[in-house]
Amino acid sequence: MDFHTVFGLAGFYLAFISVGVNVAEASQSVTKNVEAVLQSYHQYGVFNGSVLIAKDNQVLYQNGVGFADVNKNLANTPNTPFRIGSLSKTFTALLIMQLMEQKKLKLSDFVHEILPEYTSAEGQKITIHHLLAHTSGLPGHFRLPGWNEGKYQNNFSRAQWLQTISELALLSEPGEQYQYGNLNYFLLGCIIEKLTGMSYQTNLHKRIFQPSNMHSSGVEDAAMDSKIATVGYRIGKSVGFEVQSALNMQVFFAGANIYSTAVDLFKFEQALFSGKLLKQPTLDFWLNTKQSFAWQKDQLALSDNNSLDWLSYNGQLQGFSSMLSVLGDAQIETLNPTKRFTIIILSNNGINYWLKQQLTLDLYAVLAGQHNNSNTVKPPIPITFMLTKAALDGTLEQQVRHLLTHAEEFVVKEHEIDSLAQQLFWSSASHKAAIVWLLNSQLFPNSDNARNKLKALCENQRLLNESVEVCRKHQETSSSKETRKGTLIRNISIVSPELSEPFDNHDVYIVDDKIVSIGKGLQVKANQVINGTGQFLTPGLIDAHTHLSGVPGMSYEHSQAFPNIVEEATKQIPRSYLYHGFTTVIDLHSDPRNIANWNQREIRPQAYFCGAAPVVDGYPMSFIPKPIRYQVTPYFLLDGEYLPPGVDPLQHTPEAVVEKMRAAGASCVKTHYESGFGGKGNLPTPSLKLIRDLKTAANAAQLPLLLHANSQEAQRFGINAGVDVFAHSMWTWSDSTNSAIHGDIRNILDSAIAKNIALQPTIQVLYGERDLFDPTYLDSADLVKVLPRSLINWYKTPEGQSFRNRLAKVDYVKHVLRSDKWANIGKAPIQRAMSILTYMTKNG
Amino acid sequence: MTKNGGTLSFGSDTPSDLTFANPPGLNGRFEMKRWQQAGVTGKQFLEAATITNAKLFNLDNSIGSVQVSKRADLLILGKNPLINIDAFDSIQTVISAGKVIPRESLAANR
Repeated sequence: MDFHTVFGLAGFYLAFISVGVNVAEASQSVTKNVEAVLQSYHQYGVFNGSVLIAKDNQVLYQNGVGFADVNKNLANTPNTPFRIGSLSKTFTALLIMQLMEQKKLKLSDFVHEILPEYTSAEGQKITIHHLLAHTSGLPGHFRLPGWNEGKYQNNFSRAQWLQTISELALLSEPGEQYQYGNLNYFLLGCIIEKLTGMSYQTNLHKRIFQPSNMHSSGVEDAAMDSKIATVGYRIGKSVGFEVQSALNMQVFFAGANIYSTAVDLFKFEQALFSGKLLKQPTLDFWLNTKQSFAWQKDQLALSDNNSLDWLSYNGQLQGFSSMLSVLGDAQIETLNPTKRFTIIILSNNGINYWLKQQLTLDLYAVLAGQHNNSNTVKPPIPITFMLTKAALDGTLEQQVRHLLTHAEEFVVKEHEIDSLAQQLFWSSASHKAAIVWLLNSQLFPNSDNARNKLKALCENQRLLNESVEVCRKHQETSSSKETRKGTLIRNISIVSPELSEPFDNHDVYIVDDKIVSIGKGLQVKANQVINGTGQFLTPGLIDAHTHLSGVPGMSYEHSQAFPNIVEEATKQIPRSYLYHGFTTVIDLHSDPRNIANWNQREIRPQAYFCGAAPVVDGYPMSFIPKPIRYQVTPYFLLDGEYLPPGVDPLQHTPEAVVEKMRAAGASCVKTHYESGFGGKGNLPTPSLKLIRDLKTAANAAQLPLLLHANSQEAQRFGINAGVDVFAHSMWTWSDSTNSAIHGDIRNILDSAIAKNIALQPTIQVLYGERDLFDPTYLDSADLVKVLPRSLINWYKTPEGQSFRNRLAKVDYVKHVLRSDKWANIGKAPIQRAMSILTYMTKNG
Repeated sequence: MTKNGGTLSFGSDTPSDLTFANPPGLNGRFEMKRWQQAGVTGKQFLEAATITNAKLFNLDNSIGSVQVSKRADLLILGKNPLINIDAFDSIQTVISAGKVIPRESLAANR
C-alpha cells in the first residue's frame, strides 16, 4: 500500500523555468521581486508549485516553481494540474447557489426530503444551510467506523456511503455548532446529483468549467489511479520529501475531489465576478452570508491605516495545498475591477495554512510596491522556514536546541509553529511533529494547545512508539509543571456545610483541579498565593435545576435568524453562572452530547444531566409534533396498550429507558406529572405502577428519580409513587381562593417530609412570567453583568417580545393586566410557594 | 435539613419556557433572595445548594464541601454567608476546577 520513494532535498531544487506564456505587461521589477520571494520560499523547502498573480483582470505573473514529478523531470508550470482539496467546496457551494437561483432548492429544505437515503433519525432537522455552513453536527470523515483500519480504501457505492453516514451519531444538534467536516459537502454533492439527474462531475463541467472556459480541470474518483501526472510530496519520515501514498478520492467526493490549474482557477475567478456563473444578487448573497459558505472573508490591515477586503478559500490534501485569494479595496461585492488583485497558489509539497497566507501577503506586498528588490525573504528569517528546512535535512533536533538557547534572536509565534507541526503530522512524520509541538510547549508554557496535541499523540500507542523520547520529555515537563501549578489560599475562614463552626485562619492548598491539603500554616510550594485574611471560603454552589441548551428567550427559529447574538450569548452564559457562584449545574432534560459540548469550554461550571422520561404523548413531549416526537424523545415511557407506529415497545419500558440513560452517563432520571397549564389541558399523566417501576429501576442504577409536580394532585401522586425529589413547589391548589397552609396541603407536605422527598421550591420560575411585564426589567443593572448587550437589545425587539406577547393573550394574564398591576401576575401561586418554603423551614 | 426534617434542594429552573426573565446565574441569585424572604437561614441555604445536592445526585465524592481530595470548586467571599445569604453578593474570586478566576472578569460587558 505504501509507495513511498525517498529522494534527497537537493534533487528537488530547480531554478525557475521560464515557460514563456503570457507574462503580460508585468514590469521587469515586479517579476524580479516576485521571483525573489518565491525563490526564498522554495530554497527552504516551504513552497513548490504554481503561482498566478493578476491585477485589474490582467495577469501580471504566472509561473511554476520546482517539479511536478521529480522522477520524470516534469517541471511545474501555470498549466500543471493540482488537486485543490477543500477549495473544491467553493465549487460545490456554487452549484448549490445556482440551483437555489433556479428555484430548484431552498436553503431551508431538509436534507432527508431530497435524499431519503439519508435516514438518520436525529439528522431529520439538518437543512441544506446547515451543510453549507458546517453546522449540521456531522462529525469529520475520520470518525467513520473503521477509518483508521483503512476500510474506505476500497470501492464503496454511493448507497453504501449514504447508509454509513446515516448511521453516524451527530456531535451537536443541527444548527447549534460549527464543526468543519467533509461529510457536509459529500451530502451536498449527493443533493446536486439527485436534483439534476446528472453526476457531480457532469454538473461541474456543464455549469462551471465550460462557461468559464476551464479546459484542464476535472474530478478524481476511482481508487488509487490519479488522473493527473502531478505527484504530491510530503516531508518524509527521515530525510527529504516522500511521495504521498494514494488514497480513495471517493471518500472526499464533493468535499475535496477537484483538480485544476492556476490558469483555470483564474478563469473561474474572472467568470464568477463578471456574472457568468451567478446573477449579481445571488453572488452578493453568497459572498456575504454571515456563516460563510466555502469562502473566508478577512480584513488585511495595510501600513497606511487603510485596509483591504481579503476573500479567500483554500485546501490541503495528501501533499497538495491550494489557496485562491481576491483582494479588493472596497466591499468585495461591489469590487471595482480596476482595483482587484487575484493571487492563486497551488502547491504539491503540502505548504501549511499559515505559510500559504504569508506567501499571499508577501506577494501582495510586491504588487503594492512594499517589497523592494531583495534576493531573500526579509530578515529575520521566519522560524518556520528554518524548521521546515531542518525537518527535511534531518537536523530538526539540532535546530530546535539552537532555537531554545537563542530564542531571543527570533520572532516566534505560537500559531505559525503549530501550523508547521500540523503539516508534519499530516505528513505521517509524526515524530517530527512531536518534536515541534514539544518546542512550542517549551516556548509557550502557559498555552495548553501544544501540550494537549502532544498528549493526544503520545496516547496513541503506534505514534508513541515512534516518539518515545519526546513523549518522555513531555511527561517530565508536564509533571514538573504540576508542582508549579499549586495555588495556596492563606488564612481564610472555611465555611463548609459539614462544619458546625467556621474554621478560622486556615490554609487551603490546590493542585490542578483538586484540594490537596487543608490546615494551619501549611509548608508547600505554590506559584500563586491568595491572602484570605478577613475572607470566607465556601464550596461552589450547585444549581440542581437548569436547562442549558439554547439561549434563554430564543426559539429555534430565532437562533437560526440571529447567529451572532447566539454566539455572543453562548460564550457568556457559562461565565454568568460562575459569576454568581454556581460551579456545578445540573440540566434536568438533556443528553450526553449537549453536556459534553458545554463541558468542553475552558471557563464553565461543570455540567451534569438527567434524562427526561415523559409518559408517551405527555408533557413535555406533547409540544413536539407527531411523529417526530417519538424520534427526538429517546427516553419516553409507554404506559398501557397504546403503541405509536414504528416504536419498539421493548425500548420504552422503565428498565430499558433507565439502562439507556445510565449508559449515556446521566446523573438522574426525571419524569413528569402535568395535566396541563396555560390553556393546554388534558395531557396524559402516567400510571402509578409505571412510576413505581421507574423508581425501582432508577434506584437500582443508583440514580435519583425527580418528578415535575407543581399541583396538589401531582405531589400526592409523587408521594404514592415514592419519588426522590419534587422539581417544583406545589403552587397549584384545588382550592384556588386560599394561599395559607391548611388541611390536605399540610398533609401532603408532612407526608413528603416523612418520606424524605427533597423539594426544589423554584419560586423564581413564577417571577419569570410576572417580570416579563415589568417595563423597567430589561434596563436593570444586574442584567448587564450576565447578558451581552446584543441579547438585551434583542429582547426589546418585537421578536424578543414574542413570548411576552403570547402570554399577554392568555385569559388570566389579560384579566390581571386589565384590572390590576402587572406585579399581581402569579401573586397567589407565589404566595403559596413562599408559605410552603416557610413551612418547610420553620415547621409551620 | 430544615427544622421540621424536610430536605431542600436548591434549583432555579433557569430558564423556564421561552421567558427572558430567568437570566443565567442571576436567576439563581434571585431564587436565593426568595429563600431568604421565606425565612431560610444562611446555613440551611448553604446545605441545600452544596452537600444536599451533591448527595442527592451521587456527586458527594467530588463536590459539595471544602474537603481534601474534592474538586477545587470554591468561592472566596468578603462576608460571612452564615449570617446573611446576601454575602454571595460579595464574591471576590471564583475557583472552578482549580482555575482561579477574579469575579469581575466573568461579567458580561466588562
